[in-house]
Amino acid sequence: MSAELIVFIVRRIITAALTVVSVSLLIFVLLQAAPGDPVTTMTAGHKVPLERIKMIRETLNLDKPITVQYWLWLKGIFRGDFGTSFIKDVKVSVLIMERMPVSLQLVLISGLLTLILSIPTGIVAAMREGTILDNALITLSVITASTPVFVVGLLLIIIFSLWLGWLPPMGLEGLFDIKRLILPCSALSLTFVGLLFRMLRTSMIEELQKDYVVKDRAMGLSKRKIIARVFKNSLAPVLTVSGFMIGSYIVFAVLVEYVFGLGGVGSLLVNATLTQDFPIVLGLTVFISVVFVVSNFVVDLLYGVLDPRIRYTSRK
Amino acid sequence: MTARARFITRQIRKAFTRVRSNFLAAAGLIIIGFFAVLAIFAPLIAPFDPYTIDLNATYAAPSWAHPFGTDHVGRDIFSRVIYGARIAFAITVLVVLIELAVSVPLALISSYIGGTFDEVVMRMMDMIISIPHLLLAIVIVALLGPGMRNAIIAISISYMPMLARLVRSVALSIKEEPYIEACHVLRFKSVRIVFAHILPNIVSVIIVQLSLDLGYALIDMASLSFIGIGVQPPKASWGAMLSLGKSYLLRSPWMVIFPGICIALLVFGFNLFGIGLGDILNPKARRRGK
Amino acid sequence: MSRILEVKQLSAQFELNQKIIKAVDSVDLYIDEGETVGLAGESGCGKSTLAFSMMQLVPPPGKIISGEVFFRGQDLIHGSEQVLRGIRGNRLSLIFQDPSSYLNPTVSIGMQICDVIIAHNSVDAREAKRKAVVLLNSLGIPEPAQRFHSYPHELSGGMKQRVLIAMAISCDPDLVIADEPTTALDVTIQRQILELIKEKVISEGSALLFITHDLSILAEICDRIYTMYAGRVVETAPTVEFFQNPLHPYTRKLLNAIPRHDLKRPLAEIPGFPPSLDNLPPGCSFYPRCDLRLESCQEVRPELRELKRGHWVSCHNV
Repeated sequence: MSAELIVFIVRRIITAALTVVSVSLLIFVLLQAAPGDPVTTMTAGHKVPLERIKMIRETLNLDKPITVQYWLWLKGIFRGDFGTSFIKDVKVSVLIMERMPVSLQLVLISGLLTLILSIPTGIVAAMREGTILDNALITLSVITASTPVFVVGLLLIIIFSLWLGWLPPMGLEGLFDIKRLILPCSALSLTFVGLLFRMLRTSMIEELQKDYVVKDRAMGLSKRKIIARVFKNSLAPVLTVSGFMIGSYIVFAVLVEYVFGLGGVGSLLVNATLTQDFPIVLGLTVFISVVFVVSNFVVDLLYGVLDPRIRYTSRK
Repeated sequence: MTARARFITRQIRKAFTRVRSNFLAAAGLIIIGFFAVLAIFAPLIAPFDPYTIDLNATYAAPSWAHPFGTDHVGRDIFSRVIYGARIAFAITVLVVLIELAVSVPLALISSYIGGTFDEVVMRMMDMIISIPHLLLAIVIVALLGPGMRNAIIAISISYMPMLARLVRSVALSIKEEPYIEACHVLRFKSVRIVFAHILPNIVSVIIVQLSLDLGYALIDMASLSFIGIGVQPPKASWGAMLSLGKSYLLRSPWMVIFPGICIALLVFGFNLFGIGLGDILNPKARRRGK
Repeated sequence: MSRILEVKQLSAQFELNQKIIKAVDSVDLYIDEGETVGLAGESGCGKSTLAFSMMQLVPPPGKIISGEVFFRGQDLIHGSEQVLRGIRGNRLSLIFQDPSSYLNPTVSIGMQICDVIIAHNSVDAREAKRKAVVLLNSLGIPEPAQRFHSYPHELSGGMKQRVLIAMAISCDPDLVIADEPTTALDVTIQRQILELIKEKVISEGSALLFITHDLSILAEICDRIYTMYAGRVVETAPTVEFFQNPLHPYTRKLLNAIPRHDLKRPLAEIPGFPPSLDNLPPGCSFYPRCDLRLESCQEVRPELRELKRGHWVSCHNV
């Protein structure tokens, strides 16, 4: 592992940590900016006896100056403590742990599906640019990208559960319940297949015009090898988009969980929003943002691995 | 007409021909236009009032009387869908306008002034971007209280950083161009430089981004309504209709199918238009030989 | 002496914005085994396009519209992609003009050389690597074993060109086409690269087609020379004859334009501009700039005629 690579990684870790700090700051500021004081916000709409309010004030450290409040809140985040729900009387991190497996399944399987669907089609479309197949794929990609994830989900349920009766509509039983995972994962992956496909296609088309491809052909390299190298070089812009896309991905997973009644982190968020359980809403937001930052970090790392030139330039 | 006015009319006319000849942009515009007509002439086109409850005709499947069926309280879905177009346009246009009004001047001024002000603004934008935008919108609405107005504000805020960044990066690269330096030498006032010289070159980039944002805003708004914190019932927004319809999904799927397809179709129209516009305004990106 | 490359009436054109650009127009060319042949002409006269066309590497919107190219009897125009792939880089290879853009920036230079070796020889990766290091060494690259892992952006222009040459000669080709290999380099490096090509290509017995606009280089290394103007061959002759007795007005002007430090005179130039290739006149393309021109030159295009043994010219007036 070369020196530049280590420097690169360390730099990225620092950036990631700083981003987490700024996210927490933002959310803290939002909390303060909301009408009323934090206690009112946190207990909105619920009847809470006075003793509990005092306890809440203590837990929230509301008697301390604001900078200390923020510092304690931040420390908590880095320790994995995302707050406590006063309605359910349980720590947010505990709730997250309970529901992680479901969400993980959903996101990982959908992600895999998206890659499997978008990469081969992207390569084929780039190689057959301008043909009917290419245009058909592009049209298809725009259509899938235009349909909101929950509409896709609902329509899938209607088609496959109601009309065809092939698959059960909702709920999830235990781990790896494939039958119940097909529809939600399809819905989630379809939304992003279009975007990824188009990014890859555009990137590859541009890369295919580069001179080194001429050199490879002039040297008699096999088509497979040439395409493989072009593909590797095309990934950079795709990765950039992916980093940003992952955020939307996670949030759309929330919607999918709501549509299909899956008991994951996402439906927790939705329910908390509807019941105005703010500790959960805010705690989850921080959690999800941290996940977002971490995945961007991983994407950045991949960037550095794929393109050695990046390791030398210090700033993004 | 002054020479300037003639010039502008000529540009507009040229723009129209280019749009007409670009298939994507034209197709997108047709779809958008279709829904716009529905929105504008809703009272004339819709057979029923979207809020009228008819408990004798609940859960009715599509028929001649009710082409899209009725919902759980007997409201005609066809009419509701048509009126939903109004809300859809109102929302997306508002979001985009707010976004435009705040981000663009901010980004232009910030990039022009540079220095600490620019740094601070950029850090703030970075902070906002580090939370996925729909999530940010959810949090803001949750804190402000559910409702259409708050949802619009929340979504606009979550879009600002992206537009600001885009404008800023283009503005920065233009700032270095020799003709801007010439303006300095000629002692033009800063405001004039920014708005009369830098801005026109950014317009094409902004327009493309905004037309895509129309589609995204619609999706995000529908998502918020779907969760229940956006447009509140009994307002007939497509997202809210989906939220209601979800509970009766297996019984009356038509409550979900028609609003859902409308959202997809209108977003599709916005996307087509945005992509087509991108093609028109960026001839360098055109495919060789075509 | 067997003929390894035979080009007959090759024409290639580009279609851009509804205009047709005739880059190569009815070109005849041949190269014998072991020969060094020069191809001279201004920028934009079609020399590079000719080189790419011969190897069927012209990218769309360009295409070959007529003519034949035979390499060792193998039809390159109508050959299958598989056959072509077996020949390119193996028996017939190409050295490019600008090494920076022709090297893959994310693959180490050693690997790129190995690519070529592996494509045409059934050797394993270790063996290919060994060969590549040997090649790098023979081309004067210091610390070849370490340099193997370097990326193109870590190398200077001259080094990169050495890498390209290494790739081109790695499989001991019969014919190497060098497309202005020194043009993009510093003057001092140019001489080094030229010596390298002499040593590694010519002395090894490969035939060489050297494309350049610098006639002095051709004088040094070539057996025969072709001149091109506006996509057509206008003159060809053995080197000595070419320089002692140039016949075509364009060639004469070109030779006259070579700066001479021994003659005290201002720099000579050819008045006017090369014609734009999408709007070629029916007659001789050199007409507007020619000293010997007559009215009739405008109407009929001159064909190549053998005026002396081995010396062909396309002009009405010599």
